[in-house]
Amino acid sequence: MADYKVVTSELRKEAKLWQEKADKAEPIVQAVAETYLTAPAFFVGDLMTLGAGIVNAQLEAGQYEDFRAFIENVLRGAVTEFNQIDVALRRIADEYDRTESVNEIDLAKFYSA
Amino acid sequence: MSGSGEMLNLFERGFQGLEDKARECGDKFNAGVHHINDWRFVLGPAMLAIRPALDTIRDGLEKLFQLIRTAVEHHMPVVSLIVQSFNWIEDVQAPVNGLTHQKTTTFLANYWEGPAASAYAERVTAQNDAIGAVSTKADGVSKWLMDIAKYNIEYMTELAKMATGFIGALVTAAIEGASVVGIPFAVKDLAGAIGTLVTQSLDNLVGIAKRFAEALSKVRDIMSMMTDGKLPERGWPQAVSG
Repeated sequence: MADYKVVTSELRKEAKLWQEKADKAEPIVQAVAETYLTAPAFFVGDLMTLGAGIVNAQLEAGQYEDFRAFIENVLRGAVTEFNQIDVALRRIADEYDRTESVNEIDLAKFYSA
Repeated sequence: MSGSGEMLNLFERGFQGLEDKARECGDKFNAGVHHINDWRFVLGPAMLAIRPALDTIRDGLEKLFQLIRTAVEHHMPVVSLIVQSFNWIEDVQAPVNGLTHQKTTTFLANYWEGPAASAYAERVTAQNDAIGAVSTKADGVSKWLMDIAKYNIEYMTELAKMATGFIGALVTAAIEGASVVGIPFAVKDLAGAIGTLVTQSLDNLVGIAKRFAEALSKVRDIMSMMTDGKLPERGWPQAVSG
């Protein structure tokens, strides 16, 4: 396992990029939260009086909310992950500085929170 | 500023003066009814023909008022739908694209090699794939909302046309100023005109409502976007487990 080379300062710079991504992703999560729409937001028309398409309208409007919540949840996961990558890279850098070697078993350790 | 301005303008145009038009229709009709009532004894047996004609006109007006009432109730919520359709592009998709990890931003690739480095590179690829996937989905949901917004605008344009048509018919008939001899004819003509307007307008509105319902039902495509190998188990790919 001597088959590696590394400049740890570059590794730390890389870690910082992920920290910045996490910071940039936060407001996007907020933006997705704000795209919430109520069922009446989908049509100005009086579907009852017009007697058209009322069967599924409520249900389908509700499915939008499922999707919105899904994206919000996914992006929340992104924030967590970006932060964890930042930490993992810095821990790897520390380990290189300490031992000048990171072996396979260590990898599993670094890529778990 | 957001790009929703133009679309909102088109939408708002339908609402401009809509409630005033409804009020004007109501006032004109009431004035006509008062005028007829003033002459009811002179009109005598002619009232037998006038009453059902007035009912036709009243029914038509009530339909119009009902449609306007619902539209006004949904006015602001639909405005937010139009705004959100653009926000998915401007506040979600664009910044999500900005998260893409540019491997060339740093010289890490030149300074880090070996199994640990390649394990990292794989994780970066998975993260970028997920970023791309979310970006595509934001675009998809935005398009879907815009399609729905389009039918809302069409609907408002048609409803405004219907209200204007009603006023036109009431003004033309001018029951409130008709002579006793003219009243039965004016009422009959108006009932005919309103009846035609209601049939035509409702036809068009139902057509738009149906197309709206069809656009809305494409939510299926949105739902199917919730399953994506790039977002394992409906979540963000884990680079670091736990």
